[in-house]
Amino acid sequence: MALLEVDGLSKHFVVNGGVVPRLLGTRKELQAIRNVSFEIEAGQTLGLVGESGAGKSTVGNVITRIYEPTNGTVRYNGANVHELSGSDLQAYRQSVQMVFQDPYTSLDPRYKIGRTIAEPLKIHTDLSKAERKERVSELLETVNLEPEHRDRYPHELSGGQLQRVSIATALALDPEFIILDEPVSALDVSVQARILNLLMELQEEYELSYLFISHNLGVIKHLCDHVAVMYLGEIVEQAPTGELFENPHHPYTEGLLNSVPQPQPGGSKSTDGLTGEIPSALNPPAGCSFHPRCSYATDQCSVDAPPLETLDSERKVACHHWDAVVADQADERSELTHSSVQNDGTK
Amino acid sequence: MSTETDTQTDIEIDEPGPFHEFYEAFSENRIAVFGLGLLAFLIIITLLADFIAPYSATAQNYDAVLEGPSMDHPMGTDELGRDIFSRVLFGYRIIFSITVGGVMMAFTMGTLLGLAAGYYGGWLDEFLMRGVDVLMSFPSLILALALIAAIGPSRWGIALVLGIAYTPIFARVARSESVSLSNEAFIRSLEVRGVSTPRILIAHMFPNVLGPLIVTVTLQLAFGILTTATLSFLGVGVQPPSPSLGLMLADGKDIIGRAWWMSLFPGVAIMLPVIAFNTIGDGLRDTFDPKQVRN
Repeated sequence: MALLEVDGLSKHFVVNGGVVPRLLGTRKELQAIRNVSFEIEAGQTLGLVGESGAGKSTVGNVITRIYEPTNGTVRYNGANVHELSGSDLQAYRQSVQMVFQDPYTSLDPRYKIGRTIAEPLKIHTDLSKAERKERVSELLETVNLEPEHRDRYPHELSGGQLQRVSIATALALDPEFIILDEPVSALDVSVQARILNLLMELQEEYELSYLFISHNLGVIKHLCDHVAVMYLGEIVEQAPTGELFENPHHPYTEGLLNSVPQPQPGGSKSTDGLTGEIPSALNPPAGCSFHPRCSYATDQCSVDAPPLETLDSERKVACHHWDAVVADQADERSELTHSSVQNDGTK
Repeated sequence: MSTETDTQTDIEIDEPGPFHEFYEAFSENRIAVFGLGLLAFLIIITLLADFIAPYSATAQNYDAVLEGPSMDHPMGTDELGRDIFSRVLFGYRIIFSITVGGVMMAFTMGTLLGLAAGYYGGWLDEFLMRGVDVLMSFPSLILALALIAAIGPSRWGIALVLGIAYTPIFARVARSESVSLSNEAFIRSLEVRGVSTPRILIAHMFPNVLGPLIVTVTLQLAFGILTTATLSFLGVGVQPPSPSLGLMLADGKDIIGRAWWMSLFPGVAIMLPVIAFNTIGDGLRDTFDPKQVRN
């Protein structure tokens, strides 16, 4: 049994709610996530990747019960998360933590760092004040901060330091599972690497499972065991990280990978990255939601929404023409090897 | 590592803490500092009224009826020979206690309602805020008059009326702050950590919305003084023989030609705390919201 099982999860938001729009019938539903399913095994990291507005963060927020799902279930250790109450809920609150994107707004500006980190301890444990203080120092050390940071206010720390504090707070109750919602996107590149390394060290030390939400494929590749690619609220492809990066089956994944700037000198500048904008979730296209931007699209795609097909035990893809995508890449690869051989020859 | 330590020492020198920053910004505003001084002066003479006042507030002296300002009676006497200076001092005590009591009540109720409405949203928000709209659609003086008519004029009755009449203002300020704060990541992270809702509201949201609310408190204190005085002036406030600044003004208005001091001094006495609260309020607003253009 997997640690976390998300099954058929949907979340619709009512836009333009209220009494008057309801009477006028101008209420609209925004389908933030549609029929999302995945599993995370203990000690594993699942990367959730996609453009802004793909619904990545909503998935995290439903798992942590910030939102109730419209449909579907989230099971943690086999128990339906949204039916928990009382001490079971408190236990869930202890073992599932979240780190947010913007370190500058994810800490109470009027609380000293030490007080922020100690708060979950105060709520969930019966440690004495001195014990809490000791635990806070320990946690600060774990995330490579000094115990003296305890007496500082958030505005006195840098973004990287603040994100370390957020991580320390998340670790305070010995969690099993942490949702990382774009934890490094707001940080400098040099700081990003250090935070990512810290996260990997912590995962090893405390046997943590992560749901890593990011739009940055480089970061995902670095950290994740499995990757789920989201587009307009749906998972369009899911695979082990290595396979996904080497051999994408969905045209959207292919486009995302091609959009990553390649810093190799002389490397061919890819031209088949993504074009166009992500459509509005208020009014998703009929059929496959990616077809208006897809170069493989046929008439079938604008009518039939492709289901998420399971190709083998670990790989899933939602595309009518995934075989064409795969074949296309095989062609490209042989072309590349061919031309590099030629280049070698002329030198 | 060494660079990190360096920047930290810099921080200590450059940023001596939020309170110091606040003090610096506030003390730059000369008018607000003047208001603070004036208020301090008024509070001191009110607290020491027993020692400063030369006469009792209700002692009548028929040998000194309607006397002008003199060494014996710095602000003159009224038609019953009562010392106006003493009555003003004791009148301050009553008007301040009513106003502060009323505004604090409004602050507590309004803030709680506003925070809850902004945090929960949905139908609770609609319900509370439409109620607030109804209360606000009455001019606060008319509302106060109606409420007093219902509960009868008394000192604490007026305080209660002020409390009810001003609750909507605090509720609105608190709600608008609460709505924007509820969307901040740190509030959501508290929910994820299992922090209880009352604790989020009181221990986390309240301290963060306190700044704008303090400004409102100060400005409402100014309005409260005026409303209390107005109610007394209309005869539904503090009942005689208790000294009331508004009532003294009303008593003096018919004989203002013969005894100007009976109207002037209570009038000035009402004006001073209003000026003090308004200037402090403006100063605090500028300090808490530096984005506003300072002239």
